[in-house]
Amino acid sequence: MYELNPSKSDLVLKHDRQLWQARFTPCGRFLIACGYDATLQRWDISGAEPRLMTPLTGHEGWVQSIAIHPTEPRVYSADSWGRIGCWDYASESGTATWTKADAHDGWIRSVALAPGATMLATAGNDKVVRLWSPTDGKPLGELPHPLRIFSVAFHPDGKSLVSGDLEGTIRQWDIATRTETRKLDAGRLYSHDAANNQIQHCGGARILAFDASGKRLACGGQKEPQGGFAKGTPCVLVFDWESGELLREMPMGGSEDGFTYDVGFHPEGFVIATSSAFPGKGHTWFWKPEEEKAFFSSNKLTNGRTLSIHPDGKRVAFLSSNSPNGNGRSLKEGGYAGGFAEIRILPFADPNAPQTPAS
Amino acid sequence: MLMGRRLLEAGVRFVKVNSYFWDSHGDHFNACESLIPQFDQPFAALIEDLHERGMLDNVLVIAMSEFGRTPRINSHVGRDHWPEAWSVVMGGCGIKRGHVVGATNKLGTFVESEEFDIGHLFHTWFRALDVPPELMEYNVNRQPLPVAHEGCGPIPELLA
Repeated sequence: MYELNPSKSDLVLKHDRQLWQARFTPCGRFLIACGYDATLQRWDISGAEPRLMTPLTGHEGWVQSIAIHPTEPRVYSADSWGRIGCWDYASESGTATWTKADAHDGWIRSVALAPGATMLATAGNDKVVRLWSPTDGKPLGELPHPLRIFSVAFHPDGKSLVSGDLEGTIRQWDIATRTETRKLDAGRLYSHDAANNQIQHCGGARILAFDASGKRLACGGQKEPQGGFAKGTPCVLVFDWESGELLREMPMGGSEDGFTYDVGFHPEGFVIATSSAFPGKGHTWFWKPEEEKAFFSSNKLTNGRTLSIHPDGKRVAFLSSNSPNGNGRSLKEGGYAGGFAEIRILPFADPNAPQTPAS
Repeated sequence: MLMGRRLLEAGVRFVKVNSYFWDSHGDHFNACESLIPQFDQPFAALIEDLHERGMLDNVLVIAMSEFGRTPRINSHVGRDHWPEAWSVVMGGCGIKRGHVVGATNKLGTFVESEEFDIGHLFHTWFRALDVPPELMEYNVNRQPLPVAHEGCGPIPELLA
């Protein structure tokens, strides 16, 4: 049974700003991360020691989502100012292949590549999923929505994509006809309690992921979300793709543990997910959709933003971001401390091996 | 806010309109996407309504909160309380229009211009409304107190 046990022998990469996502490249040689400082950080992890490479630059705002080409050294990214772009991540210079300003009107929340890298999709606050050529950024179409969109993902068959919005509506789109064909209900990840003067629309379908077979779709977010402190129980909903029925609700942690920020499927079919909120909050967990409870959860891997499996299947990269919390003057020696990120690369531990103390 | 305007039209002299759930310690930016339009549009409409009715010269409009939010983002993608520097919007009766007074450093963390606090604002508002700031209106345990803090004065750049 898989599990993760952080230890002092883990490889730990640090960055002095908060990061949103960290992903291994398909070749397994590089780790790429995006975040609050308008850059893509990259490390060559093929040697005995990780080598921090020149960051990929050209964005203006927060970079919250990346997608990596399955066979070529290209990474696609999108920022909060509406720019999308493609970079050669393997070259030392890290030059942009192309970038496009004003691809969206404002914040882009999600970027996804179709199977075989035949199409790029982006989604954002301007309520549109936009389709692009991964080769040169040429626009290929747009799918208008009634609400802000948090997430987008392609089905493994390449014929359809899904988008997740503020109210937890997951829409299936036929790529060939650019038409909406179905809705799935993730509304339990949304709340709006107008009767109690709760004027904020809270939650949403924050992240979407298919399993490799395309038979299951996972949607991450927060169960019974609230405004203000944004308290709620991190939750993953797994849907049966054929029927569209909810197969499993996977809440994890307490009602103050924040959002599920990353969800995916292990090649063996179980869900991997991580969540974050205030310092020390959040879990990392593995859950088989056929079972009622998670078979692994850790409160040592907290403040998780992403959990990525290395192509060799033997390691994962756990990205956590943190920042000083608190009201008033968070001053330290006259300075105002900012956020930071840590990427921990750790093995899938053998549960029968002697336990090592957590760092 | 519409009710507020109607109360003013009916002769009510002080109207306070509250809006809650702005304490965005978590998920701040999504909160703002949801909340700000719900304030922005009716507030603009209120100003326009008062102007169209010829009331803006006689009504002082203030939009404020009790503190600002942290310039840096916390671990929950939120902003905590930041009392070091924040903004107040005001217009109408006795207030110079179209002016920005005060400045922070480029990080938005601290005030670089002359600092003003709530005492200065009360002086400014009462001066704009032609209420004597030294007026003894309050009596706290037999200690008479003026309506505006004795150690402060108005912000002259704001007064028409």
